[in-house]
Amino acid sequence: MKAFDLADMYRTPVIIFADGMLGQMMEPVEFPDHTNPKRLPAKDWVITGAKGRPGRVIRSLILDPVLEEEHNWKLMRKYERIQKKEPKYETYLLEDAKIAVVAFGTAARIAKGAVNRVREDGLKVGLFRPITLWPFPGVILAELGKRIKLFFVFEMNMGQMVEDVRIALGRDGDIHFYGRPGGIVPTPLEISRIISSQYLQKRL
Amino acid sequence: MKKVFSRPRSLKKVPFHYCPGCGHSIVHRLVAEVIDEMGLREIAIGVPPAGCAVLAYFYLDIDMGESPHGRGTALATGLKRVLPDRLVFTYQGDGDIAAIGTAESIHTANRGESITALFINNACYGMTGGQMAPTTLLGQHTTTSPGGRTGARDGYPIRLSEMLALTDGSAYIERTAVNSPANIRKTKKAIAKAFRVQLDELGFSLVEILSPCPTNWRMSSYEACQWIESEIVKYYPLGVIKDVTKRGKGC
Repeated sequence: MKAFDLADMYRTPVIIFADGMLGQMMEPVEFPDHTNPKRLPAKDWVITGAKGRPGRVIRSLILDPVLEEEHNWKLMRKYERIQKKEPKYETYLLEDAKIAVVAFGTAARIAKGAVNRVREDGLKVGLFRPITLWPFPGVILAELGKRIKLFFVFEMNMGQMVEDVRIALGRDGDIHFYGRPGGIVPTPLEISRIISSQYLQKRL
Repeated sequence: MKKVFSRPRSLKKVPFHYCPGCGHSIVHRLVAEVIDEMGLREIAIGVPPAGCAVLAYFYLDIDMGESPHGRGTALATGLKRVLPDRLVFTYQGDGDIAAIGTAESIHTANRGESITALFINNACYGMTGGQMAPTTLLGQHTTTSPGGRTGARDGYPIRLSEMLALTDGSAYIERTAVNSPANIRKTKKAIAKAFRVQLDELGFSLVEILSPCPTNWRMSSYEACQWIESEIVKYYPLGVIKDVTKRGKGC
């Protein structure tokens, strides 16, 4: 529902990342209470038949280079607005963390289990989970970079988000990447072992 | 003095950008005339094609929405289902409806969506420079079949209208041409009939219009009109291909 509202407010496609796990697994889910949709902008652009007005056109083709560039600047300003207002993320046990695991989607669920495991061993590890991958919550990550030394990026691909993390952190914080290309889904235990070995190797 | 001829209300006062001898200008005018005569301007929603006629919205003063290449009938399906009391039509070339959009065309017809497709067949990809299309005739020279199309190498010209007529969802399908005054009048009648079939919710309707493309055929306007008569019509015969109004619904 949030995705539909965002799409409507900004007139932009909103893509929900699903994966095979989400598609195939079964577990009880909790739906949030029904909330009334936000006040959505008036739609003076819809095509419903030109009743008492000139015809309207919905199009993406702009052949005049001047108008086309103007349009692209308009889109750019919109993307900047989205980038400023819409990044969403979850933090988990990051207050005292020395390692932040960065993961999204199913990988984040696994990572959370791994964080719980290493916490039992007294290691100060937390999780940063981007809920939106674009706009990427890089500003928050950059703040974390000032006090957290190691960012352990775990993805169920060979590194599609790690570059965003690198850009966000700049020169702050080290990054350790662990990716799995699809096939075997790693368990929280496996990930916890990698986190622990990093923790000990880096003498955190 | 009695006024006997004027610009249709639904046609904007701007010059067409089409090449001399192109069929689009004629068909645009026919569409505007039919919309006016049937009083449909305020409920008509059109979907222009990928191709030269994407700019149809600069000429027709009705609501129009671009679709991605070939997806015209899919977009029209959505529009019609949300706004069932409107007249929804697509305007598509052969490269659009019979090549990249083949799947959408077949399934829209098969679902019997109450939309109308105006299928402009010029037997090549007009806008991109006259390349061979699925509808290109055997032996026809195009920029990508310079020696003429051969069935063994390039496959055979596709008769989309006949294919769609096989689906139970299609209600009215006719093939016409705009190469002579008589054929232009028949085309206008066919468009009106297709719109009527849609308004009566009988199912999917389509008018295939054989249209001259002198530029890409490397012909004069006159030769192009002649060539439709002498060559294209042999392979794509004119006439009603399916009409359920004559047999009752569901036949």
